[in-house]
Amino acid sequence: MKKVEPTGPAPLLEVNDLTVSFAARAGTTTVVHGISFSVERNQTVGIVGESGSGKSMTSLAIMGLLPAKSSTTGGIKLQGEEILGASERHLRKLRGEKMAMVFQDPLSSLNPYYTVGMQIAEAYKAHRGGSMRAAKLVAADAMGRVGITDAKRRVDHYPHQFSGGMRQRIMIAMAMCCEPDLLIADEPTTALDVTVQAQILELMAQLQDESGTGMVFITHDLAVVSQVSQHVLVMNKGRVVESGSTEEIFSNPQDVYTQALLDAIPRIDDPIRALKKVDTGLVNDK
Amino acid sequence: MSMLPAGLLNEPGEVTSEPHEGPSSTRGRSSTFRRITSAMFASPAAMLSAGFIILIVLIAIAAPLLVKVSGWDPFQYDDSAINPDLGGLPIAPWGGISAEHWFGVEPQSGRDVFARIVYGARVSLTIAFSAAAITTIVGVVLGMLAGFFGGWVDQVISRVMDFLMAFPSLIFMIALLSALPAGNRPVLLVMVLCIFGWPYIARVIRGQTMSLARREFVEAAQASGASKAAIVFKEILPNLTGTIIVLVTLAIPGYIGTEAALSFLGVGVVPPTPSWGQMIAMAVPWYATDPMFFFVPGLFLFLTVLSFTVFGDHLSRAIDTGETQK
Repeated sequence: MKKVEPTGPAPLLEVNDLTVSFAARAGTTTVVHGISFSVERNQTVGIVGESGSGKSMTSLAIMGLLPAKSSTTGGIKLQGEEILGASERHLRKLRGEKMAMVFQDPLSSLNPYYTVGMQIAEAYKAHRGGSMRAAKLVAADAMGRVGITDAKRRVDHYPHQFSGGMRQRIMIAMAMCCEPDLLIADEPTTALDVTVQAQILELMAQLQDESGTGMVFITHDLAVVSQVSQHVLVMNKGRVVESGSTEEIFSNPQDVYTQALLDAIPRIDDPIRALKKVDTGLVNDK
Repeated sequence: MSMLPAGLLNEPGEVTSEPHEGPSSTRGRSSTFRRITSAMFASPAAMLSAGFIILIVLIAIAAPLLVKVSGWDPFQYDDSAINPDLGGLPIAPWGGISAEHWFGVEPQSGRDVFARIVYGARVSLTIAFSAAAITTIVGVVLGMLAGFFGGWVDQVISRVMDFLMAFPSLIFMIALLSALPAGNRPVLLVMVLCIFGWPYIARVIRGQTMSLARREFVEAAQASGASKAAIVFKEILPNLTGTIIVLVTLAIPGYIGTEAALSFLGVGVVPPTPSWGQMIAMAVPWYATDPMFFFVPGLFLFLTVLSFTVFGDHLSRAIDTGETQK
């Protein structure tokens, strides 16, 4: 297992030997086994893996949003500051301000009770303070930046009046409104169709160019990860089985699991082949 | 029944007209409100029951005024309206209904039934409304605490709820009310109704809070740095409004019924203060000779409970229709 070498003195995010486990009556279940990686400013690190591989647990651990029943060991440093085990009060200040998150399902990640403008404004006000009026202006501006036309009017609309892709844009606007240094995107395009997915990915890349935000991009979609990220971590059963630059991984996969994953992608020029099953047990034989 | 298509028809119209509407921060919420009211207006049953509820509430508020108009107060004896030779039966037919006594008179005492119904409505509604208000507040607070925090908080609250719901409440109410000094009976009644009433509201709120707390928008709020209090009051509570309104509307007839039952059993409102249940209890020995005395309070009790139940059912359906379309 290769570790992503930090290029600067203190990387934006440094995850070191992170282990997450849950204590149950039957014994302790470890869902993330000592993973390490780092993210630089303006860099996107992709985490790929199938369901249950520990991708989302890793992202929740970084945000400090894991359920209370879990125990986390290792280290998570944000701009050189250890945040694992920081107080809830301190973490709350970091969330939204320094690090933000975009979730998988844009249909349920907005509160149906409030206008979208209110929700963005609330997120902004929680960290920057100021009047609701000023925050609303910021919200309209943020919505404009994520490509929502007529944003000044649309801020007063409710989530159900937007399409799925629009809602995801709003979620991104909400995450980016305080200009966080780190953005964690947990399967942000999984619930969207392919054309909208392409638009959202383009938008995220554009926002990253503008702001220099470091990104952790979690997905099960290899095609997406090859598009957006410079570094890739392949996860299986809570372990990083392979990591490296995107080109390396895609052109010359070393691990059997990664090879099997890449091999499972259906190809348009090879239509007769049956869909291949990825043997997840492979990792245990190593 | 008729409100369902109306609700379905309204929503697409709203969506298509949406891009043309002007900016207003309250527009979406008021459109939900408008959709529910128009669904309610489309249903004759809901309108009739709403009409009757308003009538009863007005009667209760205007009781002193109405009694002045009818000329008899609820405690006034009218010896001229009853026949002492027949054991005090009303002289006029149909339980003594006349221009003087609109709903007849009480056998034996000759007290005006109209005045007692009107004042009885006051007592019944005051007790039912205050019990509903208190149980709702207690039920919502405890239900949300249990649903949101889970763990031992939930354990404690849920076990107390299980205990209270499994308890033979009517027997306990009778025992408690007969043991306690009669003092201020209406207040005692409200307290007893509240002790046994809140778990039914808290149980529903707990379940809904649990499902709302796991929704992604709560997680998203957490991820943007919202505090626990902000999540409870700003993210979850507003989404419970519909449920709470329906629960209150459906709790009121239950309390009216229970109050009547307790008064019927002699542990409710103490005479001479009139209450519908107590009037029905007084009418029981007279059912064969003076059925009207039984019929009038029975009809009022029945119609009031029915109206609240029908109204609550329609309201819950109107709100549900909207929620599934979101």
